[in-house]
Amino acid sequence: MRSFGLNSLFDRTNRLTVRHLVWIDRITRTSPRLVVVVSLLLALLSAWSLVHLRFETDIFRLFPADRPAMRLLLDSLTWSGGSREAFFLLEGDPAVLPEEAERLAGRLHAMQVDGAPAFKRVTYRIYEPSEAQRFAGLVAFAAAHPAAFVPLQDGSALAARLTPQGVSQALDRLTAQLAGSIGASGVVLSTADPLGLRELFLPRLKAGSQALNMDPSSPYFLSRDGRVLIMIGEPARPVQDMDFARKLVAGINLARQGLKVQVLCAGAHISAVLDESAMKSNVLSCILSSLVVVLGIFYAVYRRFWPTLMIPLILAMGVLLALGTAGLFLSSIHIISFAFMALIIGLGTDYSIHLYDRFSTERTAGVPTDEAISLAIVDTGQGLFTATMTTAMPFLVLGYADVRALSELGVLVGLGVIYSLYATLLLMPLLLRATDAPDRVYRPLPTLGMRWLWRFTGRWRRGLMLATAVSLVLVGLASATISFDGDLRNLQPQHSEAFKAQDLVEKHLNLAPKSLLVAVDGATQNEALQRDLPVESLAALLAGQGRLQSWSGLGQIINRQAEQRQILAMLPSVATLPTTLQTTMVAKGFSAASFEPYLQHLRDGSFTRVLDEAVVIRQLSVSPLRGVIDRHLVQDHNGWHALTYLYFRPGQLGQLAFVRQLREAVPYARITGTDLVSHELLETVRKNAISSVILGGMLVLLLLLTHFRNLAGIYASLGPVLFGTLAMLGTMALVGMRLNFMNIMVLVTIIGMGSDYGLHIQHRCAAASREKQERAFIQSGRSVLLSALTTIAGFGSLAFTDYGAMSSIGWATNFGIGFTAFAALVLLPAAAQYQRTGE
Amino acid sequence: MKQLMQMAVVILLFLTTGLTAEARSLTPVEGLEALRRSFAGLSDFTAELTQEKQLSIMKKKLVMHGMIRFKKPDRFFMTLSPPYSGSVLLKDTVLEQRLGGQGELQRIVLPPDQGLAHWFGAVARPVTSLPPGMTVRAEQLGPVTNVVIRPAKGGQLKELAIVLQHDGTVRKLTIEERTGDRTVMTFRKIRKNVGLTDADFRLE
Repeated sequence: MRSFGLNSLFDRTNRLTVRHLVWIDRITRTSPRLVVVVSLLLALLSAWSLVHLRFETDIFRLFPADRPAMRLLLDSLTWSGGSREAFFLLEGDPAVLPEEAERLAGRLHAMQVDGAPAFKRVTYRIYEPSEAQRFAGLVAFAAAHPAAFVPLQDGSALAARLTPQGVSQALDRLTAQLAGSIGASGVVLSTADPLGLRELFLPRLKAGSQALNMDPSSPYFLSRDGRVLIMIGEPARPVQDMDFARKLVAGINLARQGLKVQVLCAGAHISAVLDESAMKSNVLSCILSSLVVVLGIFYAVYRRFWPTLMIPLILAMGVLLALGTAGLFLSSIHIISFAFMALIIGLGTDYSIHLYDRFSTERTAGVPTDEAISLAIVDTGQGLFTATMTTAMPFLVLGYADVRALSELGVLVGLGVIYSLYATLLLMPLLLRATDAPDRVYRPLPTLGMRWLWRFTGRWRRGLMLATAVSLVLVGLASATISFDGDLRNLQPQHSEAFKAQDLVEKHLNLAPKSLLVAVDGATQNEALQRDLPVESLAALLAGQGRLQSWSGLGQIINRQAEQRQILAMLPSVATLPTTLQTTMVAKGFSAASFEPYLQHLRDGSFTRVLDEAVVIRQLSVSPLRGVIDRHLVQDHNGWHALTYLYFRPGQLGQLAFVRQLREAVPYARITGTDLVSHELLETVRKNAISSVILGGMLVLLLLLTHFRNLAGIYASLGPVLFGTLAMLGTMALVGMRLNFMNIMVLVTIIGMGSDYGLHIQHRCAAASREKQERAFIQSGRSVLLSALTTIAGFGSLAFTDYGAMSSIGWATNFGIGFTAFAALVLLPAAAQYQRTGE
Repeated sequence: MKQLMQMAVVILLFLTTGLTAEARSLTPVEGLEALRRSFAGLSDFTAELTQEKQLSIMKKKLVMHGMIRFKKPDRFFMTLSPPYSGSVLLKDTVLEQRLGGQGELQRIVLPPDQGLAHWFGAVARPVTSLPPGMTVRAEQLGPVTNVVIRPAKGGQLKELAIVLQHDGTVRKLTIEERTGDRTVMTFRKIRKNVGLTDADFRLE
């Protein structure tokens, strides 16, 4: 390594490492009380820092919110009320669905929390019967100003209705309607719209109000197949009031009992309580299961009660100090990040294993207690220190990741393993001295097949080397076929209510398989509307080109002033229309006086008037169809936002190309969609992954260079990692697993975690004479095997969680650790003996 | 809502076509209970219909002829002959209406509390008291029984008058609304329990 010219630096670093380990050895021997007091003090300080931490449960907070598509997605959730409302999806037999919906709605209406109504409102019908009058008011306004409401393509149909013949036919139809209706039920709408123009404008208004593919003939928010009904409730208090949210959810659970249909709930309050509960349960089961397995492994091999009991204390210190430190620079931690505790259990136990294994081995060889502890701390500790740093650094590098899920996990695991190491080095010796006695008999530890493995790999070293080369090619080929899963849904808890609800909506209610949302902002309503015009033109162009299945914007619901003028140009002269209508009414037996308000509108020229969009919007906003406006025009503290929805099939619209087209045509427009968010996130993660791999890899390389100061040590450390990584990717591809936003970071962390195995074996075996190499391998190999098993236990607990994000990390890491440990335990001794024989 | 209320009342009265009038004065509760009992023995019926509407927005009276059908538990069908041809079909909560022979089919799904099954469930229960706000007058005039029902205030329906013949069938039904609109329905050729099937309840 002279070529690096860093020998003196490496020497100094190694000396410092050794000196600080010697100091730790000495202080644990000479001042054990001081160690305990300082440890307790640090634990108390960490606990104080921890109580000031806030814990998040919102899944969206795991992703970077400053990216444009994600930002707009979050904005749209706020605008639509998605972040403050509770959604109920009722699924079941269409015959009983409406009845059960009524029952549930009744219960929700009656529900109380702390003596007050739990919901401000519960909506489950398109409009309530009590709104009939307002509906008639809207029809009256639209029928008097058809140019603003009738679609341009129906302009000729409108014109035909305004001719004397059209008027006559309309009144004949009206008479038939009145005759055919029950009692006098058709009278109110007849006076509002005697010419029946609502047939021309109501369909577009109804279509525009629907964000989902619902049955237009149903008074409910009902899917077209009649199997899913949506109910929306606005809880009386915000989600931040967790006490209220818990009581609300308890009430909801009670309300949905005994119904003949399945009721799924979603929304911020429900997520905050149910998902938090599910997350806590997931994380807790991870921690407990991994702890039980890890302690079981340790006790099964070493058969020592007190050291086994010491491990949870050491791990607790590591976790507490990590959280306490994180609390110094993080204001909140996502609850899912608590899964890191399971990883600390897996990784942090390694240090106890290596330390105790060395201590026990030395004691078995007759070395006195203090000397055995010193050898464990100072000699094995060197390897442990480097291994800890190589594990911690790539995790800590993730702290710079833009994806919060990764950065928090990286920081917590990185800090956790470092603290776990020092907790092991400082506390384990205290216990060993307290529980050991000079005359205590240490039986040889089980070799766990390491002697056989050493000899086997020595005998079949050439075959193993050849098989390794072939395997590397095969797994390399397989790994090249691995694909990337950009679907964020797959990272969510697969059995959560929110996930199931989302699935139900996609299956029964989605308007199209793919969609995009384009937002245009403005300081005033008029500005937003005017700036939105080019977006609507672009959407209309795309629809005309067959690149959209459908689209929905304000221009689809009402006519802008230019379109109104076009409609008016298509109409016949309406100067005589009031007179024609009145005389025809009289001739057909109608009481013209009953229609006077409508006739007066006509006389006032309402048919020829071009309305300001704001006037039309105001009318719709106070009608039962106000949802049409709410969906397309939003006001918040930042101003007004005009929204346009684009629907299309996969392959119908090239999304990235469209984004470019939109940027050129309407540079100020913002756009989002699940695919765009995924793409944005992928770009971020890819950037993070590349920089993390480079930075993490360099740090690991530097640490290994410092430790070994030769290439053999680096090969021994990183060779198994290379094999393990390729085998991990190849196996994932073969079993149908894909890389995703979360498990892609295993490519970073495996470098640090995996290099430990080769490092420990090389550290012990390289220093040993030929005769003692077998013994050194047995001891270090046993430790590596146990370390790998405990790490797998830690990550393995993640693999079985309901969270796709965590589960994918768990499986990927387990594959990687498993293959890396295999390579370290089989290939390294084969290579060492291959090299030793000079073949 | 108004349409649904009226629909429900009309159907309620159709169900009483099997009623047997009693030769004595009826108290309000007895009058309603008699209507309910008559429904118990009915599975279906058909009748020819003449409907006269005097609407506030029309100076002339609309006179229509047609036919109605009913089948337990939740089917109702009405068709009108030209010049006001049209059909209405109610399958519990699903109301379908077509104007003219080739007119566009309109479909509305009613809330369950406004569906036929709900109403029939309500009239199947024994009447022990009048619903709040409702007044009922019942009188026997020879072979004819008159029952006049005034529902609670707040709705569109002002008064409902039913004329029952001595054999218990409804001969005439008058719906009066608060707006002054008035509909008179007269039934002929009433046949009960004729074995109507689902095929008889279709909008062609």
